Amino acid sequence: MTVEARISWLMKSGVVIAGLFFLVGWIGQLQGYQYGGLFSGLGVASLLSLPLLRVLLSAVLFFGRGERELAIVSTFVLVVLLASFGFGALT
Amino acid sequence: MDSGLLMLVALFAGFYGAVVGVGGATILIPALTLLFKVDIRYAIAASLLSVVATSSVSASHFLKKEIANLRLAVLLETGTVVGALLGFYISTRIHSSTLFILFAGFLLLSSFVMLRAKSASLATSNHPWSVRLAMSTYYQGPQGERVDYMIESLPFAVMMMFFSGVAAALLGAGAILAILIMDLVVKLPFKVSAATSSIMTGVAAAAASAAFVVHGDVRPEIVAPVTIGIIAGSYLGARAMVKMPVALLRKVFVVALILLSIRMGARGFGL
Repeated sequence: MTVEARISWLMKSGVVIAGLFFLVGWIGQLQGYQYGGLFSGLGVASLLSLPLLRVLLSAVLFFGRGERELAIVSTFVLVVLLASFGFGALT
Repeated sequence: MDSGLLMLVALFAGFYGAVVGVGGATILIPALTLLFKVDIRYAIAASLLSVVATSSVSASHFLKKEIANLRLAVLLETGTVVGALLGFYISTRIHSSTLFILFAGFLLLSSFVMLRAKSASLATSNHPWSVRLAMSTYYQGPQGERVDYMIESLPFAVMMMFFSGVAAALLGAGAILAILIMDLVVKLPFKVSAATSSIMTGVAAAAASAAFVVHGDVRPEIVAPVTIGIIAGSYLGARAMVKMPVALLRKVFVVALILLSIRMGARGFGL
């Protein structure tokens, strides 16, 4: 299985999981249940983690295949991305 | 607020965003603020999440269909993420109205350039980095046929992507700049540019949304119907994009450029 195919699978699975959280959350909100907000929050968390997981998985898979240059590039992107998250949260 | 109508608007935004490769914010922010009277911060937070959703759905489909170039995206993201980090810093220090107006002018100019060009000039040689990093140099055409292409000017493109990252963090408009760079500098086929941009946009949007999550601007009653609509719309848009003629895609993209330039100009003038 190629790196591209594995990442495609990750993104597809992640979107389905996030979508299900949002759907349950939305139905809960429409019915006036407390759990609606909780499931929507889980949807937000799972959705926001997807780009991070994509970059992390790229780094791991490229490293595993001996493609060190792309693994280093992916790791650099991941580190700066995490710094952006931290900076965004602080500001 | 009619959450059913909100979901339908998001569905259209997701479809359009996936076809053009820019996420759904161009449609979603004006719709949320003007049509549904949502506070601008809540609208931006919802639109950033919608960009992540569109990007994730598109990445899944375009990687499977071998249209997006993952290795190229990873390389270009080095410029984008560093630019985004600087963009965050600048956004806390300066008033951005002048930048909005300048950027609106730049987008309008770009739209005229793209309208005049009947077809983009494609790269005629491969940069050594593309060979060294084993980048894909073909994509699947509408009938599943193999279409070969080449990749030019990678170092310059990485530098230019820095500005795309700054624009993403400062103006929320990094995707359009990324497509322009891939179209005009790297000289990729338009479908590859749009598909590769699609998978890159989620990274900057996810980073930018951290501040909104922390400050409680992500409202469940807005993001739940919006994200469901966006996911469904993106799925349909990504499938449609594969079969759409390139000339039509370029025209749809120019419409996105003009819409965004109007939005940027209006923000710049405080409207």
